[in-house]
Amino acid sequence: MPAQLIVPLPFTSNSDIYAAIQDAGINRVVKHVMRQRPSLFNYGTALVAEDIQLLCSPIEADPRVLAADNPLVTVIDPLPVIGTSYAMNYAIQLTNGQIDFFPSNIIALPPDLNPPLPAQELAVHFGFCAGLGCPSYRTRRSYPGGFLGTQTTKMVSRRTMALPSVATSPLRGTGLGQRVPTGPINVGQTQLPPLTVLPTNELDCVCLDLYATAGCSIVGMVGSESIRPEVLGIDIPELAPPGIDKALECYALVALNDGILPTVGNSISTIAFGLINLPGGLGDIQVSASTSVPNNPAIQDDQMETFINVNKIDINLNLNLGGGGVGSSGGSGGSITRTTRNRTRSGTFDLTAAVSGATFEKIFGAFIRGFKFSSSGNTTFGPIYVGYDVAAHLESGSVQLNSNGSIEVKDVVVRWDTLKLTLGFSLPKVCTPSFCLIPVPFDGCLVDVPAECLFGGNPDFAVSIDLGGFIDSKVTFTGIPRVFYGVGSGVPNQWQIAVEPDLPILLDIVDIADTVGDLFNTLVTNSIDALISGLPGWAQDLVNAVLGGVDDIIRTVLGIPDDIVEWLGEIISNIGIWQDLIDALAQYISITIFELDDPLTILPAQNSLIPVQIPVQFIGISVDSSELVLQGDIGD
Amino acid sequence: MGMKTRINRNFITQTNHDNASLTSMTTLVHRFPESGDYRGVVHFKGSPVSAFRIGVADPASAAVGGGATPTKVEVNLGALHLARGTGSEESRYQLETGGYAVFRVPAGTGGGYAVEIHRSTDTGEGRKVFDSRELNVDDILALVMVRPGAYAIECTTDGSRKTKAELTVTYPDRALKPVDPVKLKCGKEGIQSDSLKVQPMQGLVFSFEAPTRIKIELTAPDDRPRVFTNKPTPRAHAGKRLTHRYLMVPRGAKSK
Repeated sequence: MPAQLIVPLPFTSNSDIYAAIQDAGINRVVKHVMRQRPSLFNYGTALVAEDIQLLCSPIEADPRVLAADNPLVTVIDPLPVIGTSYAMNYAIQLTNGQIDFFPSNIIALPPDLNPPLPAQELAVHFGFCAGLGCPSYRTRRSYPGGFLGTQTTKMVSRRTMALPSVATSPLRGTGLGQRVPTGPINVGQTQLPPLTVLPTNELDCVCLDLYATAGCSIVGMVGSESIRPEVLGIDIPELAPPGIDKALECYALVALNDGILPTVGNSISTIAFGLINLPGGLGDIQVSASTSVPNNPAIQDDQMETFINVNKIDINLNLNLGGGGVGSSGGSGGSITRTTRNRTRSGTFDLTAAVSGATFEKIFGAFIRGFKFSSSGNTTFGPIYVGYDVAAHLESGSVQLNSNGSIEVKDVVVRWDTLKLTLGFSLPKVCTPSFCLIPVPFDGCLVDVPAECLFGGNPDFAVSIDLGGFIDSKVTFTGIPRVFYGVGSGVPNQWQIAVEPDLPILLDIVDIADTVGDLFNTLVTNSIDALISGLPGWAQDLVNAVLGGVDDIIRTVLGIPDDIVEWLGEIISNIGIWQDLIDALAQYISITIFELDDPLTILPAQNSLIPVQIPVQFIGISVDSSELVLQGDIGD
Repeated sequence: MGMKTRINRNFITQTNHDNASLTSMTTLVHRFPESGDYRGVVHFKGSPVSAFRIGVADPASAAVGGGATPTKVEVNLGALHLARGTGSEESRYQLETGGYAVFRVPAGTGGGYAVEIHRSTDTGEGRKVFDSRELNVDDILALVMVRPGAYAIECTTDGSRKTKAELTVTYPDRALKPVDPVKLKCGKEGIQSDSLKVQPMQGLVFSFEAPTRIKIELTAPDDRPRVFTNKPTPRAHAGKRLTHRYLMVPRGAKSK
């Protein structure tokens, strides 16, 4: 039986845009978050925060966190000891976070979570440590009320505050037993419990492993959708007493669903939905989740895949084309030098994004049609002065992805909003003919009668004609998308994607309307009439007679050939208008159409906290006839 | 662009001609058949304004003196007029015996010039050999008629004998082609033609056999309403579609 050739479906066979992230990539993200924002995962009393040696599990923090003096531990209030005015130091830590997309191959689920991991689910594993600072009995007995020797200032202030009176009130429903404060209840800074925090030299620690399984959905309104993981099951295997087990699992459930996983989900969403943002406010692309797939996001093949449709593309470009785009670019205050960087990892990419051919045509077509061109100047064309003022934009045309990795932009109409030419001519002086009065036989002329001229100098006149509405032209070119690693100077490094035009660019001048010739003739006639209008009638007729009439003026005197249309086209070409257009278009195409900072900020700086950034180790691009695929790796 | 058109008003307004009042439209030539020193005086509107000297020498004796003498000198009457009172010496010209002095008025300058030349002797001013107001056998007058219309040519010979001729300058209602100047002889009996016709800007060349004064006056200008007969006709080929394909490479980039 012949072997079957399996042709993989395009990523975008069920949506306009496809984005996927691999669990290993997320684990790298989580690791970066835990290292760069440890206070999200480590909680403890002030004493613990000041002396992190007390923690149950050491914190592996990024050096930048320490350099910025960012907190490693989020300070929480001491744990009140029931029935006393004491409170105890304690700490809670989440360590070693991992995620595992179906099929499970990273996390070994405990039996209570019914392994193996079901399809379309993910598993989460966190190490969970709790420690309680319990003072020794001897110490408490010997120095009642003297526990303040190693306490912080904050604790001292608490001790010195007056204790509210405590009264006994009936339990709810029975009216007996529950002790509640009867004094005034204050809030905010003044609501300080009259507790004495017991000192400690160490925490009694217990570390457990927390396992959870979760599903994912896309939530939010169209345009601001995000991926939201939700815990479906949770288990702490080492915890024996069922009550404690359930309580802690409940606690962890809330912490995961409302604290940790939303943060992770936001990070993933930034990557999935943020990939299709246009840089630099060039426009707006509104997207929504595709409903034509059974699971969206889909958790399969160790990846979380999202399928996105493009609802609206609104690109309004107004680019200043003064800058470069061929070899380097940069934002304000810095520059970026483009280099290339190869992939160092193998296997599945951490990130995969694909844009269908149809969607790319919409996006890139809108981009191309956002091109605007203007130019003005003056030069000479032979003896003729030529001033020009042109403006054009692009319309229609088609965009097609090719299997050879190129993008073909075909038959885009160059609409000339204005193509105003001012042609300046100099008429002859209109002179009497010189003739020889006394010839020298066989040797020329001894005395001649010189010419006497009507005009003191060559009279100038100008004809302005706007060919904007008379020219049909089209442009066709092929571009090759390239990925560059931009090394920034004064600005962050960036991964950049630009389309390099595959030269040459074809410019077709399809037609210049015949009426242009007649219009030009009329303009010349009127201009000459205006020029000599100050002369007596007979002198005007004399000028025309000498110059041979307007036809001869145009043809012989001004040197304009019979085919005025062809001649005008030659002027436009020679003075460089076509070239200026192509230069501007090539520059426009070459601008960076996609850029991603390296490192990429996934949690912004917050007060004194440094931003959480992930290194983008690699980005690659490929094009075939069905889609454009962008793939990348997150660095360790 | 934007240069203001300068119009030579003389070209339009100089309709009358008189050898007693030379203009930029006239060229006057005098031949010096005898060697000797001569002194000329330039008159402007009847008054002497400047003087000059012309040394006429036999070519052989001039060669002995160390240099060839020209067969023609150009005397710019306007320049001599402007140079008066500058304290400089009288302008001097050297000419070969039988050579020509050409008297011109610069283009754009108004008319009104006359020249007379006397022979210089050891005792002072000798006999008059040339007077532009009374041209003679060694003189040639050339002028150009521009303005269309009917003119009267009055030829006064020997100071009293007057003959007349009619001159018509045709209207420039069609393209002008270059034509040779018309040559006229003013003999002892006066002008040889009764009537003649020239096209605008055609030259007239007068030669003389006796002292003569020529006056040409416009008697009936030919003015016509302008008819725009030269409106251009469409020259582009109807229905032709100009198609050019340019293979363009941006400046600074290299094609594959």
